[in-house]
Amino acid sequence: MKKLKLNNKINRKSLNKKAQIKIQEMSFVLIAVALFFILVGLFIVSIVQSNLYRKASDFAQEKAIASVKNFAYSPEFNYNEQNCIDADKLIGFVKKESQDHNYEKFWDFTSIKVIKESGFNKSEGEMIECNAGNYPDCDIFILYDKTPLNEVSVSSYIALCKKEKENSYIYEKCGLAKFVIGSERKIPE
Amino acid sequence: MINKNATEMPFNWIFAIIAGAIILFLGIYITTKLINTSSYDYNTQSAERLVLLLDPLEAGLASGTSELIEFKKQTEVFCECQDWKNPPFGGQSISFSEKILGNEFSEKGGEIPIKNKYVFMENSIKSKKLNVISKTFFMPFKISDLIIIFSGDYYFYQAPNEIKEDINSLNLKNIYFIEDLNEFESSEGTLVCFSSNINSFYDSCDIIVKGECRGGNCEHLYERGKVIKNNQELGYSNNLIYGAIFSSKEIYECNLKRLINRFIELKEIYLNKLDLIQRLGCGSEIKINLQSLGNSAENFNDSNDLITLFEHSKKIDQMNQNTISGCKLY
Repeated sequence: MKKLKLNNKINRKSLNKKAQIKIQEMSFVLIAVALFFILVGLFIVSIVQSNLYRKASDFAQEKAIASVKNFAYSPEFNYNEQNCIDADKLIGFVKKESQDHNYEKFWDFTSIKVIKESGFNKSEGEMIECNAGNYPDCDIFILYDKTPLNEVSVSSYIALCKKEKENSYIYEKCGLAKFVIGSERKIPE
Repeated sequence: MINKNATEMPFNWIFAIIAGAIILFLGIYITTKLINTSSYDYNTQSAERLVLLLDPLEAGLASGTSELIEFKKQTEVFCECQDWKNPPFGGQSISFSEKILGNEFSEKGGEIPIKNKYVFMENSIKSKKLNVISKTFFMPFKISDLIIIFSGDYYFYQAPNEIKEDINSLNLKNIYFIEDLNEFESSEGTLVCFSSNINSFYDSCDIIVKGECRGGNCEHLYERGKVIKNNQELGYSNNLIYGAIFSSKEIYECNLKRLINRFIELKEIYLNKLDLIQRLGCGSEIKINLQSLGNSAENFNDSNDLITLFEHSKKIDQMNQNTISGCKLY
């Protein structure tokens, strides 16, 4: 009888040890499975995040494309409600913006520039920037430029008009110009 | 004493049940979170697309445009306006929510900021279809295009011919002109009554438009006046009449301040242009008046102050029209 009880005790002890080993095995498997899912989750999150950056950049560029067509109608640039931009307003804009920088926050673009026909075959460094002192003998109106690290530009050709006087007669003189709008390309850090 | 009849549950079973329950709970929790995040993401993208759609809808050189935006599901569009944000121009934001199972709407998406548009609408609109009108606001030169968003049917009772012609040119299907109130009785839309008589009062009208433009400067009675809705008065001039009819008081007043702030900025550009025009030999009468209009605009409080600005800008507009074509400011 005593022997049987001792055997039972030994059996239970070995069973307990086996169960403990099984629990350890199972917990290791569970930890491994959880780690696997966490890694998969992180991978998915990184893909989604990079997609978000791409979508944000695409939206910004789509916005720039949609706006470049409409910019000629913007009251800040439009010439006498015609389908062209007003050089006299542009120089007024440049003068005002250099003082208060208010319009930088109005449009979502990182830069807005208008290149006159005289600047078409020049690099940006060679172009003469328009200001109240040298206007109209200049090549580029920099309405504002936030100079971000990564910028994508969209441009469109447009008529640029201004008032001129000849023999006491005031008339509209128009030429070709290029409207260039820049938006920031977002890159994941 | 050990009960030999009791069933003994092995310890690894208990462990498996507890671990399984935790894993199941985590799985359900993460899935719900992911669904919520994706619906938030979707609603934010939809609001961004809606804002993007407003770009080509701006009137540009046309006198006005209109468009119908249809959604697959019932949606709720929320609009907020803050004239103090993004100084000096102020700003607005639009967010979006879509009907999911049953009558419930999904979590509101992120707010998309609007800095260079003036959207007039109620604080929120629940609908499958949105009507968008774009009209230009002049004071005296173009200040901006007004974007008016509304849903549902509107019945314009005894509207003047000028308003009828204006609306008809936009090909809107949801605005009906009625001359008899019986035509409205069986309808569920909004009744907008036009009244020139201060004492006349319509009990059944949701919105009353009072034309107040009298005198030589006015093209018609409703060029300037007041819109009364929910016992609140909104002053308007020109195309702002549509903004006042279709938007809440908060959004209307806020957008009006934003428009006036943009006028103040534009005035500076026009004053610089006037300096250039004067060098060509053009007169300086407009310049003095424009500076004076600018001073009035800087003291602008609410839509009741529009009367002064309207009269002043009419005067400048006439001066501009009377100058020789080479000297015209706009």
